[in-house]
Amino acid sequence: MTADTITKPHFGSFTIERKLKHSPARVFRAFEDPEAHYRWFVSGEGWEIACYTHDFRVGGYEHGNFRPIGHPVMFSNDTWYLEITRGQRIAVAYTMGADGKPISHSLAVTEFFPDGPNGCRLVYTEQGAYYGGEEDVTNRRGGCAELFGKLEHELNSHS
Amino acid sequence: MTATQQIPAVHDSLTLERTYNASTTRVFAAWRDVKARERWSKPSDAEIVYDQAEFKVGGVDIMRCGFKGDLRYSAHVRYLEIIADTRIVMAERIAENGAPQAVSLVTIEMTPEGKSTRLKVTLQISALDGSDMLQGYRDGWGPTLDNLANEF
Repeated sequence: MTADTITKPHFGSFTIERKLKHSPARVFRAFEDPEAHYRWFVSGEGWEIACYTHDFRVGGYEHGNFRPIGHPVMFSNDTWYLEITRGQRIAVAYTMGADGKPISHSLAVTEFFPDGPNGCRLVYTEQGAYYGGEEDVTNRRGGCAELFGKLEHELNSHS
Repeated sequence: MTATQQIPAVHDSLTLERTYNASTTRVFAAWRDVKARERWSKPSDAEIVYDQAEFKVGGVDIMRCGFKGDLRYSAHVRYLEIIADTRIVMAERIAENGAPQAVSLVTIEMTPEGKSTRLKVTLQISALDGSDMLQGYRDGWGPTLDNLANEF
C-alpha cells in the first residue's frame, strides 16, 4: 500500500440494547449533563484526555482528543448532534480519527423507552462507514458495549 | 397509539450507482459548486434555496426545498470528509415544517473508469417519524443522480 492509496469504506451497522433500572429521564440526563457525560463517556482509567468539549443541543458540535497513556497515536472524536428529543432520543453523527485522519464515520441513534414503572430500555443503533473493514464494526460494538457498562455504573453511583 | 407514545426509529441503507461520461474532477466539481448543485439536485417542478453553503470539512449547508412557493422541507448537511475527485462523506438532517423526519450518513465515492466516472452513493438512514423515508430517499436521490448526467 502506497501513501496515495485511498482506503475504501466498509459499511456496517449494529444495535445494542440495555435494560436499565432508571427512568428514561434519568438516563437521558447522563447524556445531557456535562459532568455526568464526562465521567462515563469521556474519562477512563489509563486514558489521557487532551481535550473535550460538551455542546449538547441540536446543531451542537463536540471535539475530543485522547489516547491510552503513553500511546504514540492521538485519537479524536468529532460529534455533531443531529436531533434531540428530551427523554426519548438522541441522534448524532460522529467521526473517529487517528492522528488527524478519519478512521470511521457513524450515524448513531440512542433511544430511551420506558420499561416498567421506573425502568428504561436503551436502544443504540449505529450505522457507519469504517475504514478498517468488518473488524472495525466488531471492535466498535465492543467499545460501545463497554461504554454502556460505564453508563450503568454512572447511574448506580450518582444521583 | 396515543399522542405521547414514542415512535421507534427505523434504520436502513440504500446504495445507488451511476456512470457519468466525465472525469472524476468534473463530477467532483458538480458537487463542490453550489450553483451547479442548485441546477441538478432538484426535479424541474421543485425549488431549492441555499441559506448557507460551506463545502469544507466541518462546514454546514442549510437549504430549504419543496414545490415552488412551498419550501416545507429543510436540510442541514455537515461535511465530515472531503477528498477531492474521490470521496465526500456528510451527515444530514431532514425536517418537514421544522419537524425532524430523518437523519442520514451519506458517502459519495467517485472512481475513474477510463474517461468516465463510476459514482456510488451509500445512504445509511434512520427514519424518525414513522414514515417510509427509505422509499422517499430512493425517489429523491434516483432522479437527482439521473439529472446530474445533464451537467456533462
